[in-house]
Parts: sequence; structure tokens; C-alpha cells
Amino acid sequence: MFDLTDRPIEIEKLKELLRDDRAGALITFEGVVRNHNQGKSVEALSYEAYEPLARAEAQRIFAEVAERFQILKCVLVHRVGLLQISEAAVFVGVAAAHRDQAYLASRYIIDETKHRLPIWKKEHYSDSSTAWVNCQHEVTHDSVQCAN
Amino acid sequence: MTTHDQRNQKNQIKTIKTVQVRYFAVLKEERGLGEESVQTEAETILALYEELKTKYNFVLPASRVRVAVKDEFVDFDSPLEDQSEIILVPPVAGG
Repeated sequence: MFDLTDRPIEIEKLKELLRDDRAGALITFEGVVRNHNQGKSVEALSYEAYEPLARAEAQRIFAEVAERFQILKCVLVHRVGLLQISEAAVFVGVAAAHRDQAYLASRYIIDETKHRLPIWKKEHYSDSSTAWVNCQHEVTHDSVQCAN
Repeated sequence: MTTHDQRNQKNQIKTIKTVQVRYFAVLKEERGLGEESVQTEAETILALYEELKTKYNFVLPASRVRVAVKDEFVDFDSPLEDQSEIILVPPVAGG
């Protein structure tokens, strides 16, 4: 299941979706807004997404996961809009019979999400300036910044 | 076929296309709007991006932008189809 939401992610409800009597492992991951990045003090983040492409790309990621790993269920939800410090920006949940496959699938989903979903992040700094993450003119080795 | 004929044929093929372009994040801010209809003679999506980049002083080179049509990423060198919707995807940063 994939979703984009402009409201706080309801983690407990999502965990319920993952319940399965065949599952011996339930791995959940929350990407959370932290108060600093690259030495700058961060006040908030805003996310923008292009939903039709994000939905299609998420389904492609799920298809890859089903092919590569032995899991039972997976869930991916991403916030859009303005987020405050400590709010969850993304939730990944995987249920599997065994933990190895659950860990691997969870890692695959979050990594591919960061690289492929059309979601953009703007950092709002304490000095009132803002910047779109990864969109600076120069490519630097810190260009894979993240909220988590 | 003479060179002259070939040139004429090429001129006839070069038609003006109308496409819908969608901008996000930094591109949306630089352009000042989220989508617009664009008339162009560009033959590929890459040529269209270069045209828009010059016109609106986009900071990002094409090498750092991806492009999608409908709900699928496509090659930047793909031919530009008349009446298509082109989604310009600046570097993503989900998570």
C-alpha cells in the first residue's frame, strides 16, 4: 500500500495493516524531521510531490520488492506539506515470515523511495532562509542529504 | 533525391508543437508557475528543456533533471510529441 498525505502519518493504523498470522517479523521505519542539516539549524521542512508519477513509481518499487524478497506485506506512506521538527516524513513497514527478508526489503524500499519518487524537500532554516535539498547548482558529495 | 529536395523535406517536417509542461520545486520557483502550455519547434524533450533553461535562466543543467511523460520516466532524448504533457523532475529528495 502506498499513500501520500498532508496530515500526520497514522503509524499505529499502518502497523495494523501489516498484521499477518504468517509473519514472524514486522519491521517499521520512520524518517523524522531533525533540527539540523549540514551544519545549519533547521526549523521545518516542506515537501512537494507529483502524485500520479509518485503512485506509479511506488507500485514499480513494490513489484521489484515482491520479486527480490520473500515478504508478506509492505506499506509506504510519505507526508507532503509543511512539517515541524520530530514529525514523521515517511513511514515504511514490512511484514515477512523471517526478519532477514523484512530488513532487506525495508532498506530497499526506503532507498529507492529517496532516489526515485518525485518528492522534493525544502529546508527552512532558523535564519529565515530556505533551500531545496539536492537542487543546488553544484553537485557536491553531500548531495544525498536526508531528513533521517 | 537532391540535396535541395532533402532540405525542403526537412523544413516541412519542422512543425510547431504545443505541449503542456509541468514544473516542480526549484524549477517551479524559477519559472514562477507550476504548469504552462508551450509552443516549440524542439524535436526532443532535451531540446525543449534547453530552450526553457535559456529562456528562464534555470540553474539546473539537463544532466541533473529527469523527465516523465504521464506516469513514467522517459529518456531525455525521446522525441517531443505534439500535445504531450512533459513533467520536469528536478533532483528528488524524499524521506
